[in-house]
This record gives sequence, C-alpha cells and structure tokens, in this order.
Amino acid sequence: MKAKFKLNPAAVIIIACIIISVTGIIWILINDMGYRDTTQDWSNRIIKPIDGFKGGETIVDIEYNAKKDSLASMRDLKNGDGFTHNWREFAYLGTQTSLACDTCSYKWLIDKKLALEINGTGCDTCANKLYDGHLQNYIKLYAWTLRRKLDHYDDDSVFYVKNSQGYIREWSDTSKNVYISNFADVPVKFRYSHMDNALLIPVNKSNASLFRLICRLLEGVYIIGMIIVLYLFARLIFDLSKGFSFTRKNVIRLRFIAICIISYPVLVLLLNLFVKLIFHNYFTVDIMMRDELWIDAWDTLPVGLLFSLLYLAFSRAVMLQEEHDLTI
Amino acid sequence: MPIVVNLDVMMARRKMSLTELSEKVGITMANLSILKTGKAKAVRLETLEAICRVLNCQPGDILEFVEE
Repeated sequence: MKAKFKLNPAAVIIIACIIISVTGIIWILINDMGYRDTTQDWSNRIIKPIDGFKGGETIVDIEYNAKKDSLASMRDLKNGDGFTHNWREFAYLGTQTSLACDTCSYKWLIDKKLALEINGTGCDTCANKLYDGHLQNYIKLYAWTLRRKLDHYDDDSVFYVKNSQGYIREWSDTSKNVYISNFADVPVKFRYSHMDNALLIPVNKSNASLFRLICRLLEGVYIIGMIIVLYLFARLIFDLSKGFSFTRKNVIRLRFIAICIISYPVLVLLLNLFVKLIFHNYFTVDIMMRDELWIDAWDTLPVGLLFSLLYLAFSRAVMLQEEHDLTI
Repeated sequence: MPIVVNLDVMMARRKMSLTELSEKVGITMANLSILKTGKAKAVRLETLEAICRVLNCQPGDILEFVEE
C-alpha cells in the first residue's frame, strides 16, 4: 500500500504562527530582557538637561523660560529636528521634513519665525520658501531605533550633530573604575529623531515624494485587503445565520481571513527588513528593531490563530457533513 | 475509488427500474442514484440488506473491489 503524505494548509498556518512567536521571543531575548522605555529624550545626554521648571509670571521666570525654549529650539535646529512636519505613512514607515542648520543663530530662527508669522499667514508653501536651503527631507523609519540597554543606561548609544555631521557616542567600560566610562564619537550617515525615537535617512525631495507614493500604494493594497476580509467575514456571519454552516465556501473564506490576518505582521516585518536592506549603508550596530513591531504582531497573531483553528474545525466539519450526506 | 457499485448490472439482470427498486427498498430516487453512480461514501448495512433482499442477490454481487 502506498503511503500518501498530504500537507494540511491549516497545520502549515499553525506551524507558521508558532515559528513567528518563537522567533519573536528569541528576538526579544537577544536584544535585552524585557520592555524598554522609549519615551526618554536622549539628546539630554549630550547637552545639560533642560529642567521641567515652569515658574510664575515674574520677569525672572519669563526670562528663564525664554532662555530654556531658545536652548531647546537650538538643539533641535542643530540636530536637524526643528519645526518638524511628519507624515506617518504605513507599516512603521514615514517621511519627515524639518529644519537643519548647524551654523544658524537663534536670532536667525526668531527672524524667520517672525517673517513667517507676518507674511505667511494661511500660506502652506511660505515656510518652504522662507526656510529654503535649510529644509531637509528624510525617510523616517519608525521600526528602527537606537540600541539601548535596560540594566545600565550609560551604555546606551547616543546621537548628536556637530558641524552638520551626525555622531553616535559609544560607551565602553574598559576603565577599571566602574564610575568612569570611556566613550568614542563615531560619525554616522543617518540622522535620528529624538521626538519619535526613529531613524531618519536624509534624502532629496523627489525621493521623499516617491517613498510617500510607494507607502500610499502599499496602504491602498492593505485597505483593499481589509475591505475584502471584512466583506468575507460579513458573508460568513450571514451564511451562518441562514443555517449554511459547514460549506466549502465558508471554509475558503475562513482560510483567506486567517492567511490575511497572519500575513499582515509578517509582511510589515519583512517590509522593514527590506527597507534596512535598501539603506544598509546607513545602518550601524547601534540601530536595532523596535520592540513594538513584535508587540503589534502578537496582538494580531492570536486572532489569526483563532481563525486558523476555526478553519481547521470547519474543514473537518465539512468532511463529516459530506460523509453524512453521502451515506445511503 | 477501488470499490465499484454494480447496482445497475444487477438491476438489468432482474429487469428492474430505478423507480421500482426505490419503492421496494424504501429509499429516495436521489439516494439510489448517488449509490448507482458511485458517488456514495458509505452504505448502511440495513440499506444493503434491503437491496439484496429485493434483488435476491449477495452483497458481493453489488459491490466489487477493483485494484487501481
């Protein structure tokens, strides 16, 4: 008797889910043990932190706060992160246009702001004209962030800009004294958004527009996929309410829904890895994938797994139903 | 499927129509047709017994194993 090996699609889906989950756990364990705080402003490591003092209405307090604001604005301007316009597109990808000037003074910034307020009211393109030459376009990769460690914050990689060149400050504990750490400033090609903790790839305006267009197309495909999934789900519910439960159509619908739900986080992950491949020249060892990518995937995977199990149960039920119907 | 249903052969030998067999056995024409065309996945022993009684034959006369 010949033994036939038939691969069950549902079993393949479940195995894929398990592989993805296990890979995710390993990924997290490799990077560090647990959840990282992603809200800390890392630029404060380089320059003396700006305190949270708000003060009152006295002249001294107002002057102090103005000084503080000017310092923060200048830091953002030097880091190329000033007056940011973000476009968060799709699947942890986006673009950013911001002011970048290492040599500009605070007076220059104030003069431009005033000119914009006077001349540019209600004009969307005025800012572009006014800041011409200092506006930089970036591809913003939300999936990639600077490497950090939980146990010892001083070991974390820090980004800053000096003379229009981005640097990563890498810490090393070669010193015998545990309280003194050595560090080295390594020049890097990328920029970094301290606001969103996202990697910025400097590009020209046309490339940024092209990237936005590709993201919009991908988003369109995703929306169409979502509409199809919702339509199939509605049809499934409708058929179930009519009493047509264990039919081949329902099995096909459940399989499609399960595949779509499971494949979304996988595709997002692959897309971001593909982006890394494209911009591999900009990446250094200090860049790591954001944990939220896996957390989001884990939010979606149980739903996909549930639909996979439903698909498995329904396909078995259809087989039994057919057997029952064709028993004379 | 390697099990071949020779119901039509036995019916021809006994000169019995599908309608007559269906009435005498007590199963619907549709089910009898499924059995005759070989689409059936299973046959109840009581159905087989009733068919054999009406056609005056053995189960082996109706069902035959043919190796693929």
